[in-house]
Amino acid sequence: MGTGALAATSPWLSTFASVEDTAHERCRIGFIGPGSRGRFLLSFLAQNPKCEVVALADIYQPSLDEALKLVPEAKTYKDYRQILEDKSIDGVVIATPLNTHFQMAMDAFDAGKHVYLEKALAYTMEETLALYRRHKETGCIFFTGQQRLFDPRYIQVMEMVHQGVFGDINAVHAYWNRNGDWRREVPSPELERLINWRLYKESSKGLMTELACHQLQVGTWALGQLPVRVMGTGAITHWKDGREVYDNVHCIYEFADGRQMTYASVISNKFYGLEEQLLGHLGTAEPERGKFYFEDYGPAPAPAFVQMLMEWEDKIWGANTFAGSSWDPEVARNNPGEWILGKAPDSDGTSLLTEAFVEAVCTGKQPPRIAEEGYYATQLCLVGHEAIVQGKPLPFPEAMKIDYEPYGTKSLKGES
Amino acid sequence: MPYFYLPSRRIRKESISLLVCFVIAVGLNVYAIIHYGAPLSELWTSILYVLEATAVLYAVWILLRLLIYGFLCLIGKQPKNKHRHQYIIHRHQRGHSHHSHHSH
Repeated sequence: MGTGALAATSPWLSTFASVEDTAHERCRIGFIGPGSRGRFLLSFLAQNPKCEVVALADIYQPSLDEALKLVPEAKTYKDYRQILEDKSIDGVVIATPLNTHFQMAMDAFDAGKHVYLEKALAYTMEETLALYRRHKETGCIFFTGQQRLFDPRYIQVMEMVHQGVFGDINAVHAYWNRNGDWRREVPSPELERLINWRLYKESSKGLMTELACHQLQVGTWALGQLPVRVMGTGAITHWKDGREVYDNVHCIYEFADGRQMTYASVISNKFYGLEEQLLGHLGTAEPERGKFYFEDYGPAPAPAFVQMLMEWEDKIWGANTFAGSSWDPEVARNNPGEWILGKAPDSDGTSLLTEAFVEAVCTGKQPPRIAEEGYYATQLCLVGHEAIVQGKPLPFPEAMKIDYEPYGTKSLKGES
Repeated sequence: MPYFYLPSRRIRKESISLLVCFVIAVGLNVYAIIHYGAPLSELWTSILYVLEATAVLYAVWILLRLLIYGFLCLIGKQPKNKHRHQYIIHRHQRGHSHHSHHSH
C-alpha cells in the first residue's frame, strides 16, 4: 500500500512517522479503571518500552490487585483525582463505566493530561461535544478506543473501498450477535450495579454504546459521510433478568444520497457473530472476518445456446409459477472470497492503537482525525439510542456537528 | 420379410434436409451467442449442443412428414409416388436387388 494512499484513508497513522526519533523517549501514564477491558489495554502498555504505567486508580480492589500483576511498580489509588494531581504523569488511560467518562476526562484535560478514553466517549451527546471542545481548547492529545482505526485489515479494506475496488458502496450492514447474558460475576449483591454497569440505564446505554460504537464508525469511514437521519427499535426480548438496557436493537442510518447503514445487535443468538458488511455493486468486504468477495464469482454461465433453450422452456412452460423442484432460491453463494491481508487476521488493532497513543504522548502531537472519528462514532451510537428510546426517526443534530472536512461537516458556530 | 432400400435420390434429399436442420441449429447458436453476449468460441465449444439440436430438428421433420402422410392416407388421398415400389424388396429378391434396381 502506498504511503500517499494511506495518508488519505488513514491519516492518523502518521503518528508513527517519528517513531525512530522517540526511540529514547519514555512517557509516564496513569491508568484509571483497570477492569477486564482496562487490563487488556494495560497488557500492551506494560510491554511498551516507551511507556511506564506509574499509577493505577480503581474503586474495586480486586481490579487493582489483578492490574498490579502486570505493572507491579505502579502506585494504586482509590480516587482517580490523585493520579491527576501527580505532575510527573503525562497522560491517562480511562477505561471506566460510561457514565463516569465525561467527568474523568474533563478533569484530566483540565489537569493538562493527555487522554486515551475508551468508547463510547460520554453518556450524552452534549457531554461528548463538551469533551471534544475541551480537547481542542487545551491542546491535549485525545485518543478514543476505536481500535479498528489501527487494525491493518480495516486500513487495507478502506483503501480498497476508497479506490473503488468494490464499486459503489450502497449499503453497510453492521451487526454484533452474541448468545450470553453479558453479566459479570458479582461477589456481593451491593456490587451488582458497579460490576454489571453495562446492564443499567444510569451507567450505560447498552448495546448501542458498548458495541455499535465500534461498528458505526466503520460505516462512516467507508462511506465518507455522516448519516442525516436515524430510526430504530429496541427491546428486552430474552434476558428478562432485571436489566434495564435492551438486549435486542435494530437501527437504520440514512445518508443524504439515499445510502443506508443498518445496525443490529441481538444477544440471544450468536450464529452470525459480528461483522460490518460493506456492500458494493462489484464486491463485498467483511473486514471483521478479514475477507472480501467479488460479485462475479461463481461457476461460468451456461453456454448461450443452453441459456436460449432454457429461456424458451420458461416461456413455454412458465418459470417459477410455484416453488417446484426447479426453483432456484437466491441464497448466498458459497464464495470463499480472499483474505484482505493474504492470511487470516491475528490481531484487532488494539496493540497499535495503544502504541500510537504512547507515540503521540512522547511527541506531543495530536494525530489528524483520530479524535474526530471517535467523536462521531460516539454521536452516532447516541443518536441511534435516542431514536430507539423516542420511537421515531431523528435527524443527526446540526448542533452536534464539528468542523471535519472528511464528512463535510461544519458546526453552526464553528469549532476552533 | 421385406428389406428397405433407399435410392440415391432419396438419400440426397434426406441429406439436404439434414443439412438444412444443421444450418438452422448453427443459426440459432449464432443468434444465442449474440443475444447473450457469449464468446465467439462457443461456435465450436457448443458444437455438441448444435448437433443434438440438428438431430432433434431432423426428427421433428420426419415426424411431421409421417403425420402428413398418415393424414393423407386416412382421407383416402394416398400421395402419388411412382417409385414407392422400389423401396421394398422381398427376401427372394435380395440377391438380385442391386441388379434389379439398375435394370430400370
